[in-house]
Amino acid sequence: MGKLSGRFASGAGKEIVRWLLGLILLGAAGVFIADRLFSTTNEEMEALRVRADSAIQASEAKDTVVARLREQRNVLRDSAAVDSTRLVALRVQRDRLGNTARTLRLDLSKAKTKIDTIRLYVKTIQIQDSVIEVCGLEVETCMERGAKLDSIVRLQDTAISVLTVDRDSLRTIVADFLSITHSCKNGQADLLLFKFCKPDPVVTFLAGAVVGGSLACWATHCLSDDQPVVYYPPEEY
Amino acid sequence: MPDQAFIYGAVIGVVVSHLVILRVPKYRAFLLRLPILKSSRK
Repeated sequence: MGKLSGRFASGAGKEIVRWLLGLILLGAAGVFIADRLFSTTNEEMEALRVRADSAIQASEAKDTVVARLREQRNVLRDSAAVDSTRLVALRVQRDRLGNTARTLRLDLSKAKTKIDTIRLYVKTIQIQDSVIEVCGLEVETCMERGAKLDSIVRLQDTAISVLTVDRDSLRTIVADFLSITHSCKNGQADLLLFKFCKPDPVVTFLAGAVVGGSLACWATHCLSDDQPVVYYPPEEY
Repeated sequence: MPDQAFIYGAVIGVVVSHLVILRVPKYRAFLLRLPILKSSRK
């Protein structure tokens, strides 16, 4: 103990403590930024999904589900207005015969900014008598501006038609949600949640720098532990 | 797979942090004993 306290009282000990504190701070900052960048769902989306699940489980009739979905429309509208970089669109659609469309087409040619990642959540709600079944499907893909999603992803048994999404038309799409929900006459609705994530490249770069720098410092400190300090005279450089 | 900007940032972060670490005597001594830096020092 006396040896330890004597070591930390020295200049090298203070330097080590200083580096450790710096490493802890840098690591915490890197983990925080990486978590913010690469989190798969934001709080609003997660709350929405939980709310949808609870609504489906608690309801015993289709009208109840529709009423709960109507509440979610307002939530979506509010969340889209608040968070402009993480847009959320919701659309439920079936054709006239009740059959589901086979292709998904998402035209982003009118999008103002490049959208890097699209996370698509599909929940199929089956209501038969008093039995309610919920099936989930989760798709994640990347696309460039103007690309068509149907060339990348094909979903079976999902009720999607041509859907044009940009920030201006987002509210219109959300507004269509309720009327389309009412058209689900045979007790089946397909609930689609689109989440658009556009991570800032500068923030991503800084997060990488923080994480990489922290790892390098940590590795250097661990590998150089308990090694004698050697001071090279200037003539050796 | 991390984003490309994240990888670039990580590489730059490692390089810059090592340049900073070289200014600390204890870690500089350790880094200069690494084979790759030792060969470049000669």
